[in-house]
Amino acid sequence: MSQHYPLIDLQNLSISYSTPRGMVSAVDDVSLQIPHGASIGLVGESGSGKSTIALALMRLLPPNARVTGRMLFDGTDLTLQTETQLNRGWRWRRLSMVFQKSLSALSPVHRVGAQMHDVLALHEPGLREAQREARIREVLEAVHLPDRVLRSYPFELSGGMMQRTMIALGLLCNPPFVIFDEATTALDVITQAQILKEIERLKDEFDLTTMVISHDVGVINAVTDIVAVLYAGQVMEVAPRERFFSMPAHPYSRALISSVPRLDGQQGRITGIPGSLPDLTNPPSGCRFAPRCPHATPECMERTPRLIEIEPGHLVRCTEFAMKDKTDR
Amino acid sequence: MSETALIDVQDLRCLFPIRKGLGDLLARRAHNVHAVDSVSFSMQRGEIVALVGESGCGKSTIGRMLVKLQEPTDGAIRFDGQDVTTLSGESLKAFRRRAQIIFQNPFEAFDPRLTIGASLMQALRIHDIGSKADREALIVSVMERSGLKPAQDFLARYPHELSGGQSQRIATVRAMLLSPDFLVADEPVSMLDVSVRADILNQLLDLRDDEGMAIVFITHDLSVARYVANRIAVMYLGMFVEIGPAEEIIANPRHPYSRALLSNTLPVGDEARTGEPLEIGGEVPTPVDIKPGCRFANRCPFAFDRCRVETPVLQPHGGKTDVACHLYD
Repeated sequence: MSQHYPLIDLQNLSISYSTPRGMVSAVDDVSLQIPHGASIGLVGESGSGKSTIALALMRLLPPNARVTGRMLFDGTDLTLQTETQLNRGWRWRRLSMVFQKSLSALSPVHRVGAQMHDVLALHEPGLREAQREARIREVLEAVHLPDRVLRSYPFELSGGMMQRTMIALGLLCNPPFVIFDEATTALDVITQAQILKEIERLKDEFDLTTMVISHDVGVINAVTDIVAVLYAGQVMEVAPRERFFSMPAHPYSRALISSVPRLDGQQGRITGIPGSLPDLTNPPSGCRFAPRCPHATPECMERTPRLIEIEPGHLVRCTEFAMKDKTDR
Repeated sequence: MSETALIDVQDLRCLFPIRKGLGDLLARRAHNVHAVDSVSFSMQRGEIVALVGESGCGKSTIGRMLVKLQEPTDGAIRFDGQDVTTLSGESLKAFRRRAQIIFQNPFEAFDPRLTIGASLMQALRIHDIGSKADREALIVSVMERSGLKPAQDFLARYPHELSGGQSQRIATVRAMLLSPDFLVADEPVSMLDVSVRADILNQLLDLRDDEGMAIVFITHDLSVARYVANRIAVMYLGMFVEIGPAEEIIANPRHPYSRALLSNTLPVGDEARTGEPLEIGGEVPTPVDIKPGCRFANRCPFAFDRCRVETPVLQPHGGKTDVACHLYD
């Protein structure tokens, strides 16, 4: 039965923040599906709305946020859950999140072991102490951490160990869905590679569906099956990973990939993307990327292009493809 | 070779004493963190040398010593034939004008209470350059040459009104106002979005090519190092483990640590990899009270007895790079 719909189904999700300068439209009409067992990567610059989507799923948005649309988790709309329901059955137990700044996500004055016990005591009240201890050791082993971590304070751990601790916490209540929000961004190259490899392994071992948020296309390439590119709160492109990296269709996606120096091939000059994100209190009419797009036409400035499927599973929001689509029909 | 060198560094060392616990304090016993140890290299005008390594490897400490923000424990730094460590008074001021540094975090690079214009003026006033009108004209011309047009738009703003990319561009402009011969760029792009990184990197390449500036570029990212640098020095725990032409280090890394760094750098798309991949475990230890032997030996898959007792010396061993590894003896 659950095969009929994806594990996560975002339908026309829009999120805006009310600020003294007016409403900021952070996420605009985002629809995304994540099949069971798949891993979706959200990529985009800072301010593109990727973390806002993650926080919305966890229902952790600040009070000044206004959410419209639906967020279905295995068919249940998360936007309709009460705070009590969220804490009893959803957060940690069905979906959890691994943050970038692990040092600020953990309490500095409690030992790691105590913090893990607290999570279990709160979210799985049926477990006895010995059962909790067993579960904790199990997840520590899964992320290759020694037991001494339990007796340590967060500041005594290295960056890599802390991030592993965060992942262990995320897996503690055995959730089917985990969000990794820039989970390896602050780490060194070698540690990052180790942790990404671990995430890949844990996906199989714990049968996880994951959402990986990163501004780094290299990370997205390493651990996702589907790539969704966000720009100024809108989905610009969705594609299977391999197709995305071999045939990116949206001018913004192409610019994102080609603005990164590479280790192979000839070393020509790379170019950045001129300009900056539009003011989201007053988003431009037409395509939101048009002011920075090298291929923009007057048409792009006027009409907002729809997200169009150019190949099965490959969607693009770009006037160029919208025109082709029209002539094809 | 060091006849024409702009920078010549010999046997540079920097130790930081630390006390571990009350026992050490009472016994007045100090341990030393070997931040930088036995580093020698020289640089020509018009050359970019990248220092690459993981956090804590000493790359920033070298950068700070090169511009006399940190006194070395031992060793010599000669800048255009002059010993930097003995500079003071007027000669130090003259040196400061010729050697500049830009930092990783552009948001902390400017006094938040001063407008950008006032911050930039300060640098010129301290060095008694021109009249007020001359200074203004100079600032405007340097800014517009760096693509910050119209300059007046930026000069009246406060630092918080700028994006990260703009701040970093202006930090570079400030360093350029005094037309230095030498620049240390300490992770200048790692906090920026990919879309603006290319601009900053290209700005540095222009300074090298058009003004003949010598630049030490500090980064943890080998692909960025390859893009900007003529030569790459790979550092591990305070020492150079390999130094050579950038393309050579990328195509034929010889030190096991260089190979590990390279094979753990995430590919963007279907990049072809050169060199044999190498995975290593563990994390970088803290270099406290270092014993003789290769510092990488305990993580190196090829380590043998000699590696644990004798420190390898950086030398060509018949190849195109200098490498500190007993494997090539």
